[in-house]
Amino acid sequence: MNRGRGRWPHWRRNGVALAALVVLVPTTWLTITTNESESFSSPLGDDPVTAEVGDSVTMNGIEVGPGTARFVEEDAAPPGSRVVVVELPVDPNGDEVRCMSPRLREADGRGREWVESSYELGYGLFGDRVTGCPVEGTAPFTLVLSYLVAADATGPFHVDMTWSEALPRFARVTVAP
Amino acid sequence: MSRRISWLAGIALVVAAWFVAFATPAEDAREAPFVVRAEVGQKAEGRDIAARVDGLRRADAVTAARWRAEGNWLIVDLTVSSRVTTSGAFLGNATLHADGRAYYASERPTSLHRQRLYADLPRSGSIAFELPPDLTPGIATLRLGGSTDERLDSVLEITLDVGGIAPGAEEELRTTQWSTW
Repeated sequence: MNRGRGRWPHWRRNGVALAALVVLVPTTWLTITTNESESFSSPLGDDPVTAEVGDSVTMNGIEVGPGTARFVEEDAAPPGSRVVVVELPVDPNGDEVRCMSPRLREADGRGREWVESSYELGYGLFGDRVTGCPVEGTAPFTLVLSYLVAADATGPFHVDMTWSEALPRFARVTVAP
Repeated sequence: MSRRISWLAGIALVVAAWFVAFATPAEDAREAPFVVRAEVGQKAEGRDIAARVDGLRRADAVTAARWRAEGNWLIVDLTVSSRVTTSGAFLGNATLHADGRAYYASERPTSLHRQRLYADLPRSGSIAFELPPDLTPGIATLRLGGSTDERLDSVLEITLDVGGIAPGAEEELRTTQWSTW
């Protein structure tokens, strides 16, 4: 009996099965992860198209940014909070854009996220501020967004904005108050 | 290999298999929530929720704004916030476990239940549990979270001494408002 040659006596006989495993295992993994990631895609977008401070993002011909941000004193802000006002120019370039309300996210730390807070601050729904994309029209406009954030949030922040035609991509414009 | 060694190896493997079976977590353990326990008055922090039970009240009738209902009510005064997200963050799970049963917070009055949570911006208010008329729980457990689907997420668990509270005739739910820790 030749023990040296018999240490891996079966690999030649099982070569086809091994080759099938080499192909099938990664294929299975890829199929499952692709299907699962598609089924969990967020309605707010999964794929950021980013712009640093002072830059803009163009998706589907629509330009977003560059944005600016500043902290403002606001009597309606509760203790332990502060208000960030973000101005975000949007140029639809002759198209219509029906965006979802942009969200504000800390660029570092825990990445805390807040929503536009005009309602919470009592600004009313029909004030002069443009807090959402116009229902009709193709002219450039500037969103004026007020965010109630925690008092220890110092920025920089990401302003995340998307619209149905751009999904799953979303524009991520960085602002630094 | 001698017969003796074979027997010893076999017995060792059976013992090892018993230890493996003993140490194996239950089938649902891989989806179990991460429980954070706290006491009344103590802030509990989970992955994306933080809460503190400020007080407990029992009453034969509860009012909230212009709403009123009689019953066997347990009112939990709370301060709560999310920790990371605001869009999609709600106090979706407020469940009282008492006497082997689970009771969801009532949806009848306007309360903190199912209200939006703001990242690190606490809000205070109340939730109310309408219990069966003959139920007077001694010790109960309050579970708080973002969703009634507790799998693989933080759940805050606060032990409540309900038996030690004398019921009042009528109690009003706290108005939901901004607060501090």
